[in-house]
Amino acid sequence: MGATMSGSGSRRESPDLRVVHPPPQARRKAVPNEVLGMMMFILTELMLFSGFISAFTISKAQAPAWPPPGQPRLPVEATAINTAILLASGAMLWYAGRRFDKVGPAAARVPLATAVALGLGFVTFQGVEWARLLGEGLTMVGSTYGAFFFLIIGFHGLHVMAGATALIWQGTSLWREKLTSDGFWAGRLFWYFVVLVWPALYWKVYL
Amino acid sequence: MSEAHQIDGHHGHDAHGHHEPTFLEKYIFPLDHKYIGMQYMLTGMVMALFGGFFAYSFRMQLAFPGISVPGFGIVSPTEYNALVTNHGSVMIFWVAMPVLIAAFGNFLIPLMIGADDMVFPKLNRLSYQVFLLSCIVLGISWIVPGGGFGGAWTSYPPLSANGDYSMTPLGSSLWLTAVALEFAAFLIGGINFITTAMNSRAPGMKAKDVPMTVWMICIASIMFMASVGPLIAGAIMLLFDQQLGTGFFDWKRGSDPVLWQHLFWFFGHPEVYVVLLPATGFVAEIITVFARKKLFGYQTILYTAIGTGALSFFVWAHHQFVAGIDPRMANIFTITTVLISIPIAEMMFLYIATLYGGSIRFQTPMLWALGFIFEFLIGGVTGIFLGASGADIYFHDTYFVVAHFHYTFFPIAFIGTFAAATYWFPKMFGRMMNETLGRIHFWGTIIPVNFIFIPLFITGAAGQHRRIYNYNHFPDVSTPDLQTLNIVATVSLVILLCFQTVFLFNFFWSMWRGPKAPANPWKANTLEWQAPSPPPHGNFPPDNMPVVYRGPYEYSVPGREDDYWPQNQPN
Amino acid sequence: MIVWLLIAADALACATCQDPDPRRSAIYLDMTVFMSLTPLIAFAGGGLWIWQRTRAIR
Ligand code: HEM
Ligand SMILES: [Cu+2]
Repeated sequence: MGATMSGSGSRRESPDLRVVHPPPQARRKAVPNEVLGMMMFILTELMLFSGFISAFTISKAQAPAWPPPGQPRLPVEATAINTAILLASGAMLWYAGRRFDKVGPAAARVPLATAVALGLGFVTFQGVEWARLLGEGLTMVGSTYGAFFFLIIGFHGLHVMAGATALIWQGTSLWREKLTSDGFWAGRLFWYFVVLVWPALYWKVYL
Repeated sequence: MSEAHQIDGHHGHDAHGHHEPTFLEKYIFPLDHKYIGMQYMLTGMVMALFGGFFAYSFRMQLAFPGISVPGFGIVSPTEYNALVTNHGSVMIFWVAMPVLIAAFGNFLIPLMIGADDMVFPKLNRLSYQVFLLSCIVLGISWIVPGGGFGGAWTSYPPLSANGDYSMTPLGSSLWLTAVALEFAAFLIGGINFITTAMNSRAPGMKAKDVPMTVWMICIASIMFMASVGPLIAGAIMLLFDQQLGTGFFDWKRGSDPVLWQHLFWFFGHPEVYVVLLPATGFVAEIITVFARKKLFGYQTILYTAIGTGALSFFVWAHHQFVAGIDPRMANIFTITTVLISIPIAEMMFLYIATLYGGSIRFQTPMLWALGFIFEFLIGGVTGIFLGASGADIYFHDTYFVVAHFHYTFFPIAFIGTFAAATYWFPKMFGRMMNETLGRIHFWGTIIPVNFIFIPLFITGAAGQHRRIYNYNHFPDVSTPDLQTLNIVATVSLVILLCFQTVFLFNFFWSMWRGPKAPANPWKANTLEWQAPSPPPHGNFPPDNMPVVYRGPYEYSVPGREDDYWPQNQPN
Repeated sequence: MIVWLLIAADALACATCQDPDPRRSAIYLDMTVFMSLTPLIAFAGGGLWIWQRTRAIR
């Protein structure tokens, strides 16, 4: 494909109808399909969480006291540590992506596995905390406070699990040397989203 | 065109293997975007029949309270509410969305941009399957014990949140599930549309060479995806309220009474533009072809659409002027609402300017396109009345509002669809529709429409409240002396519905018996007309994919023999 | 007429609305701005990034 015939920029101005224009160049993608699709999906997800957060903020502003008296407190410090774990997982995955593109697919194996393990660690930690909170009497039906907690944090937890599953699935294709660079990029994007909304949720819901 | 400059930007995927697809593969579980589009279209048509039947049933009750409606029977208050609710939901979520966006989007986007298919054909198939599932769930919600949901398509709590109030504990949850599934289907579809339009365009097709329809469907999809999140969030919360007994929307437990309304309308208002934009895209296509003129102000139209899209995220609270929002906020939303009518009006004027000086051919698609502009302007103008918060305090929840949004939705969902269906029919099925029947159908639709909704403007302005089963029980919100107008509206509706049989007959008869259509019957420029009618699997010959040399609206170019100039012709 | 109606909004509002709770109003205003701007900023950001990449490959 002739690089010199860059595009077909002059075709509009050409007044001579008899001129046979050179055929335009084939298209090169600015962003791979998978990544673009994932970006659109993340836009929706972002708005989903924004919806939750604004509903939460408004309900919280209505309440005379928050958290309502008699309801258990949320584990702020423990979750701070957990936040660090999730962020570390995100960083690990970023590193995995770099290794994949710069060194080669095989080099991404260890960081990817670490990232997934950290992610799973995060959910397990959350699960333990949930069990404790439920034991202390925080339920969805008991108060709006509890309801929002389980709704938002639970929804995020579902996302972590979904993201981890996707990464494990990508990991298996990585081991079978079938993972494409673009596919991995899209998978990472989703995980970055899951990791990066978490601090916002933590700030809003816990603090 | 030689080998050198074909596809590369075009993906190859396994769906284009060389074996002949079986019947099941071709029609029931197709991967081909054209068949998925047609599945969407046929499902939408079936749903439209339901929606129309519901409207008929409750309009009969309004005109002749208490009669046994032929074909339905006596309408009980609960049934009345369920009919109104499901009429609205079906028409917006299961007719306008699937037909305008999913059906035509699927069919047209790859063809118009010169691609062989969508970039994610399997996601595309999944999208339709989820959509079908949502239709089934909705259908089930009508027949479960307690009956269909009756809390209005906007589904405001507390009525919708509590089975004791709505008296449809199952129906309301199924309705909500169906809506959520439908959103999921369009989400998947929208991702596909945008990615395809970005990455699979034919070589040489730059942003300004993309037909308006593709632009509009893409902008609409982006708006849909950016606005639907909060409503999905709200729907999940509402579902929990219904089924688990949480108190997200329960003011008795300290929650905010209008929170749902914000979540709903945050989506709801962009949604009206989501369905509007594709229809304006079709109209743009049709008026240029049938006026043989270049689209006037291509870029401006594009900017108005983008401007509308952006602004539509700032206007939603105009649905809540009387819901107890702060009047200062009401003022802000009044201003944004009036602002948003500027770009849309601008767009309509540009369309009218396109017609100016053209050699107009009044064929059926053109009649529909002109009808669209005319009727939609009425809807838009009355929207400004409602957007002024002071006026809306009076107009809110009267039939004036009903007439307003029907003057916007009817042009969009039906006139727009008929325009597009009659215009692209030759491409879809390779046959021509009957012109005479088309015109009969046009006049038989456009005249009754005005006789349905103009009376409603009058009763509404006189103070008749909407969503009331029998006005004899609520004399202070009714207009007994205007009952004749209600009867006029209902009778016109029946006439309108009767005329739709003409369309259905024309559609299905022409599908098999119509005269064979040439590839480019309207002498149009866009790429879909350069493919055979109907396009084969893969749309264009694989060794001869189209390459684009110019914009889509080069009609009547001086100095050329033909008055059209296909986008893929080198000269 | 429309302008007049615009101004009349506060005057015509019912008693409850005329006396809004300032805290609630402020939160609502915040959330309104937040919800409206988020999609636009996200979209503009993504769009800009894509646009830059498009220019880079040309
Ligand atoms: C020119 C721009 C428009 C303006 C200024 C406008 C304004 C309004 C306002 C202020 C209301 C609220 C009335 C009330 O509930 O008291 C309303 C209702 C409505 N509008 Fe529009 N509108 C416009 C365009 C549209 C379009 C294009 C559509 C549809 C495609 C549409 C569909 C609706 C619907 C469905 C409702 C009623 C919702 C309900 O309460 O069930 N509008 N409009
Ligand atoms: Cu609106």
